[in-house]
Amino acid sequence: MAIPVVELRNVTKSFVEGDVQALRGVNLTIYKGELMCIMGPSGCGKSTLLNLVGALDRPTSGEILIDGVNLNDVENLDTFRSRKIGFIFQAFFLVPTLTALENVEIPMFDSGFVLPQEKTQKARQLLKDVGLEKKINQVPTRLSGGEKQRVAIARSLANDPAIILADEPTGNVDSKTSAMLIELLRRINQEKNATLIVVTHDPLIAAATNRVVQMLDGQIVGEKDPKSLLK
Amino acid sequence: MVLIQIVWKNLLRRKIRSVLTVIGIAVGIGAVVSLVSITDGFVHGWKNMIKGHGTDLTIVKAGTEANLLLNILDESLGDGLRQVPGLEAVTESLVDIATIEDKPSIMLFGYAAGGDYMNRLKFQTGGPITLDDKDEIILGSVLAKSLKIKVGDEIEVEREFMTVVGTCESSNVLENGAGIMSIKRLQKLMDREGKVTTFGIRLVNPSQMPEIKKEIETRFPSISALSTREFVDENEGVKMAQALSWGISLIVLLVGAIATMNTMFMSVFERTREIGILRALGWRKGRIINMIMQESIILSLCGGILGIFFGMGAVRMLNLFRQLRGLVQAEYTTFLFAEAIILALILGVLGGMLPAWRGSRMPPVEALRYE
Repeated sequence: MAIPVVELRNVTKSFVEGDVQALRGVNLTIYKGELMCIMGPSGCGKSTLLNLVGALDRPTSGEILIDGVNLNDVENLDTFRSRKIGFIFQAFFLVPTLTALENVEIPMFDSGFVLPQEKTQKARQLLKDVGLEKKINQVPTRLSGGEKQRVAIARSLANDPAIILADEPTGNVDSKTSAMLIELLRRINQEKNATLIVVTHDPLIAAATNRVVQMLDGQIVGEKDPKSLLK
Repeated sequence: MVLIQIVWKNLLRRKIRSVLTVIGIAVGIGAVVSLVSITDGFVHGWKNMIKGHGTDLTIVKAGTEANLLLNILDESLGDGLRQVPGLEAVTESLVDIATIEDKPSIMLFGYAAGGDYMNRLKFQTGGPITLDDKDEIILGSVLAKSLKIKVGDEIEVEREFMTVVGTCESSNVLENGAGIMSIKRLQKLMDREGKVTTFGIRLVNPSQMPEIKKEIETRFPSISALSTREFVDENEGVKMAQALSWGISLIVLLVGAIATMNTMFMSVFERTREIGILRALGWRKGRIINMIMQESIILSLCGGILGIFFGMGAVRMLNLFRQLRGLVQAEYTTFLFAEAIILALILGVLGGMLPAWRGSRMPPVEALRYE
């Protein structure tokens, strides 16, 4: 039986500035091991939804449950985020002064007590998993766009999170690198049984996922068959 | 990887800015170190001079403890003091300011010819004055050097000619830069016959000091009997120098804290998005504060350590000036170095607090949107 890992119950989000209602009663369940995609035009509320599911922000009303925990009951979202959620950003968001290895170690600082050498060992293994074992000591400026995103993917896996959120993960790379990154995300989903939620405009990425949710004007308006997006 | 490695890399990111901040703090701390060490050196030297005279208690006019030059006592008081039991020696001295050659405001000390104070001077050349009415003078080593005078030369003191009979080296800059005459001759020279500035008392048993002090002050209500420490610490000049040193330290603290704060604020603003990334990846507010505070404290501690060397260097530089040579006497103590480091630490904490607080308060969603 499929285990729900993310549950959104009648979630709304309003911003006082500009009097905008970004989300209007969103209900959504995402199951463990899913590789799913959220699509929709700019301003439809995808990023707001991602921020709420990523525990970066709190909803105006409604409930969000991650791995069975209601976020309304969580006082310290920082530690929760560190332990349960992995992030992959469009602009990579690597710390420029740190090496690839050190960047992957970053999420492990506040996820509970881990010895420094254990952190390093794990980061090294994750970089090996994404094919960057030879680049561990390179700073981001010496890495290509694809390599930077692979470091970011390795970083998102650092704490074995319940969910990985990817916001336009191929938005800053060429099509060849994009295909390689999609393949890597699929492999991670299959090998590690990781739950991946991808927000994208790119139908090629959406087609590579198992489920596509469509958003419009702050609401979920339906689901599409990923294969149909290739037509 | 541990946090300090990230902190270090953050500081090296803008090397010139970090170095300039460290130098700025070092100049401030250096000013504190040099001023306080010179004041301490002066106080220490003065105490040593009094101890060198073998004085346990110094008698001054009550109410004028703070200013040595305002202190005028009748010489005849000495006879009364000598009646107090438990005193081994009572030695009078006179202090005044005079013009020697073309140098105004030179301190002159008058000690009894052939007396205890005179005989305890450490002579470089020549020897003590043994007769009261002779036109003789002894010069402190610094004064003799600056006047280029040697034993046997004649010099003009307040329009009268005196023969230099000796040069002496003292542990105190005042005595080194002063002239020493027989007290009788000095009284005559300065029209202060029968007057003295202080009486120095040596006790038979120094452990009886509190009782004897009380006895003297009861017998002679118009005078105060001060221990060496009281006598030096009560001095107006010493108090002013100490107040000035610490006043400047406070200004340094304020300016340094603002400079550090400016650097840290710039650093935090520049890294808004980066801090947002760290927060998004689960770093607690406390860790962000810890990181920024460590950066601030490392900058200020480096400034503090460098400042100690700057301060010591400044004192050496002052001694290179011919006019000041030998007059600047610094006292470096572990306590002073600890004070400098603590001052730097306070500076780092004050300078880092606000930027750290601001950095930690940034909502990650907004920080990630920051361009």
